[in-house]
Amino acid sequence: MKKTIVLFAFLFFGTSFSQIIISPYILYTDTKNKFGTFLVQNESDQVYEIDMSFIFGYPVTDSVGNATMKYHDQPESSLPSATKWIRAFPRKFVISPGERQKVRMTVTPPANIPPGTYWSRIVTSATSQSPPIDTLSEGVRAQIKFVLNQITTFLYRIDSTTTGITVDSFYSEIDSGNVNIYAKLTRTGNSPFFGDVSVTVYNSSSEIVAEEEQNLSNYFETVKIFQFPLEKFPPGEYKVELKILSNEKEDFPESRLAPIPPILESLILAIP
Amino acid sequence: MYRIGMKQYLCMVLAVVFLLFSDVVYSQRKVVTVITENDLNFGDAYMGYSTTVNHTDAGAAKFRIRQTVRGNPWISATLTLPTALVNGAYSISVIFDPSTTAYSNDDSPAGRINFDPNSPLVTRLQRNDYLYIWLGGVINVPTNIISGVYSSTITVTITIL
Repeated sequence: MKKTIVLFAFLFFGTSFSQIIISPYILYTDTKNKFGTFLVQNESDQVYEIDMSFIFGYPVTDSVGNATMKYHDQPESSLPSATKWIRAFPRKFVISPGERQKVRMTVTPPANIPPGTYWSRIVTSATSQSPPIDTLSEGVRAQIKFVLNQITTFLYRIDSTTTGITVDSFYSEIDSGNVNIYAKLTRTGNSPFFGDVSVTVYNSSSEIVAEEEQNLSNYFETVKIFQFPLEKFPPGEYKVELKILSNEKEDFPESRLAPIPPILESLILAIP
Repeated sequence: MYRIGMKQYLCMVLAVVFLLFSDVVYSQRKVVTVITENDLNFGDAYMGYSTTVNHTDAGAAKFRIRQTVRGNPWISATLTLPTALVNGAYSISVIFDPSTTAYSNDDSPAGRINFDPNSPLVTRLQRNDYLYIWLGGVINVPTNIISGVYSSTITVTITIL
């Protein structure tokens, strides 16, 4: 009886409450393993049509750290796009409530391409087969179909790969309400940098008065902004430390990237 | 008769448990989940009149987004919106703007933040936290339309940056 309860408990806690789940979020392949498996789960009570496509894109930021996605429909040959090399099977399918569908992806790159990491974005598009019909008035009905796109990442890596971060600038600005810390970061090597970046602010007694950690997915260059309320900082001098850590194995344990030492930077912040 | 010991029995139980829920565990590892909790419902509308659904109305579309991928990443939600619901040569215009669109980390009418649904919403989302998006709109029903189903598509695109 006890064993039955344990079994049941695991199954119960493993239950998802979501609609369409896709996994993994980053699909990693390399020269030793050019096959990846992608799982699509329908946790709703409706039948969905799934359509998978690929597009090359990466996050970019403006000068004050606002992030958006940049996509290239026709990327230049100088960009590390894997979009044209990827095949998915099946690419289009219907998934019933409670069903799971494995999608097998293979990558077939051209010969003799340089080492590095190439990538694409996987667009998983889910459309309900039976969108509701709303009666507006006698004989007039509205039907709005929702299409849900979830965009995840496909990586293909050719060793040897290197990555790192150069801190181009690290500075502070004070406005009427906030202390803003900016870090302009450029990726080095031939592979995107995945990790965390944190800022810690110490007062003259070496006590931490503010800190924040953000994730860092740096494909080319990025600006990170850390914003703290000015009211946290009485007049005086503060030491601000920037720390960047690589942690891509948390996203894809198959990574064979050599460990990268922490990248550190600091500045003195004067509050009048 | 072959008898198995307790250790072998426990190994078999663990193997069965692993096989039974390994797919679920695999799929739960790092995911972004998006649920459409409510479809957009304009309710009663009369020819020659406009009908508005505010983001606080029961008829507003409602999306719930959650991520278990990273600590506190930027998440982008882009809405591709129509300008009309169409039935052949006839159409009903539809307008989406910040006054009828909002987001929040709390499932509550209070504290919502309006945003322009015609531009990407980019905001931070803590791991295991929720992002709610409510989408209303305004339809203008002409007097000279015919009966039938007027349809269109709204595309919601979710990306972790």
